[in-house]
Formats: sequence, structure tokens, C-alpha cells
Amino acid sequence: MTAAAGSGAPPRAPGRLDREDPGRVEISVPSEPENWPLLRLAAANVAARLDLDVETVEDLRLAVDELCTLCAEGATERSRLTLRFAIEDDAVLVDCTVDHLREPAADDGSTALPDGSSPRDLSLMILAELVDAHTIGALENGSRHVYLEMRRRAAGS
Amino acid sequence: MLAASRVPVRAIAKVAQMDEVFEVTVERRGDVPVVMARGEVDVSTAPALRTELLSVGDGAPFVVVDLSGVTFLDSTGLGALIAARGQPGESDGLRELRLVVTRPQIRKVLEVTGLTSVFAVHDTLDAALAT
Repeated sequence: MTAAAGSGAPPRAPGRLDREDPGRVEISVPSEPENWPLLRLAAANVAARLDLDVETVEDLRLAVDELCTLCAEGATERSRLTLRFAIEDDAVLVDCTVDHLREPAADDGSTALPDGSSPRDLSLMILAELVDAHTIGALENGSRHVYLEMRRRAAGS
Repeated sequence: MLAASRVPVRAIAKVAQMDEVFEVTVERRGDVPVVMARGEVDVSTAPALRTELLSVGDGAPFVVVDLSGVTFLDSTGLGALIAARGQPGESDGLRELRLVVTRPQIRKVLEVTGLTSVFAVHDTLDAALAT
């Protein structure tokens, strides 16, 4: 299943960010939560290149964190997470891939929160509110691709 | 170590900031437990916050969670707060958690997920403790 949200032009398919773009920033780490701060730091640095305001930088850090968490569902010891950033006009494009994922177990409700929601619901809600477009790809051949776009905001918006 | 003592204070503070150590402590104000978190709450640190939240509050009228020192809060941190609220306790079977939030970004993540209508959010610890 693929989820997408946002406004304006439809987001490009995940995993399709130009991998030959010489200006891209790429970081690859073991898919372990201890590395998430490093990924957020990379997001903040890329955002700074676009001279985004502080609030947008913070939003991008959070969005990238949630994107990586969603992408890494089912990660194993062998899984690596690769995050690619590109700047296009007035937008930051972020592409994330995790490999060596296992098939998710059938949902038995064990991860449900007391209010009935799931952690995944919260992640999707945050992405829907903070970014201009995002796409969560399905698990295919042990890998998942996810993608988001965040555009520069007009002052006061 | 002599070498370490020569490191300028400013450099030490900078390293500490880069590492963004997560810390959670509990103190009591009368009958009320105050859980104070500091640093970044994410998928690797949220379990510690959740454990601490679930260990306090028996018999207390409410629990205060001071997030004024939290510099980052993601969905897993929100999950820890929701899970702590869902424990048996007061009349409706849920514990009352009062949050202290001073940073706009932390307040924003509560707002976009609709949790400002679930938790009472206060600007100061004194306001959260006031009945």
C-alpha cells in the first residue's frame, strides 16, 4: 500500500530522486534508532543551505525523523538506511530507503495506544501537517522507499 | 586529568549540546510527582520516559510532566505520554497528566496531533501544579 498526501503537484514516486545529482547529500547508516539524531542533524544542515526559517528547519527535522521511523518498520540487524537530500528551486526533497526488512507481523493490536491509535497513525498525522508532499512506499523485495518534499514558506504563513 | 581541565568551558558546553544527552528525573511536590525530561525524546529515548511515567503516580491526584527541557519530541514520545495517561487511576479510569511546555516546536507537535485537547498544557511548572 502506498500513502501520499500534500497539496499542489503530485509527489514523485519514492526512490526516484536523481541519484546522479552531483549536489545531492547522501548518508547511509545502520537502521538503528541510535542513529536518528545523526539523520536529524543532516536534515537541519541541508535546510540551512536553503536558508529556511527556524520553524521550517525544526519541522523538517521532525518530518525526517518520522519518515525514517516509518521507513524502518520491520528493520533487521542487516538493514541499512540511506537518506538522500536534494534542493530543487525552493524545496528540500528527501528520499529514504531501508533494505533487508522483514515482513510485518499481522497486527494483533499489541502496539496500539490506549486511545486506540497506533504510533504509525501519529507519524502519518505529523507528516500530513508538516510537509508539502509525502509518499510511503510498500515493502518490495525486502526494501521500502519513502519520500517527502518541504517547500520554503512565505513569511508569516 | 590535567589535559581535560585545560579544555575551555565553552567547548565543553558545546560538546554537551551536540550530544544532547537525554535525562529523565522524578521529584515530588507534595503529593504530586513531577517527571522532568531533558534532551531529545525520540524512538531510542522514549522508552525510558515511558518507563518513568508508568512508575509514578499511584494515589497522586495528577502527574506533572515537565517538558520545558525537551528540545525534540516525536511520535514515539507522544506515544509514551498517551500510554502513561491510559493507566487506571482517577474516576474515568485515566490518569491526569499535566504538561509543562515552553518551546514552540514542542507545543506545535502536540497541536498538530490534536493532543492539546487531551492533555492540559501549561507554560510554567507553578501553573501546572496549581489546582
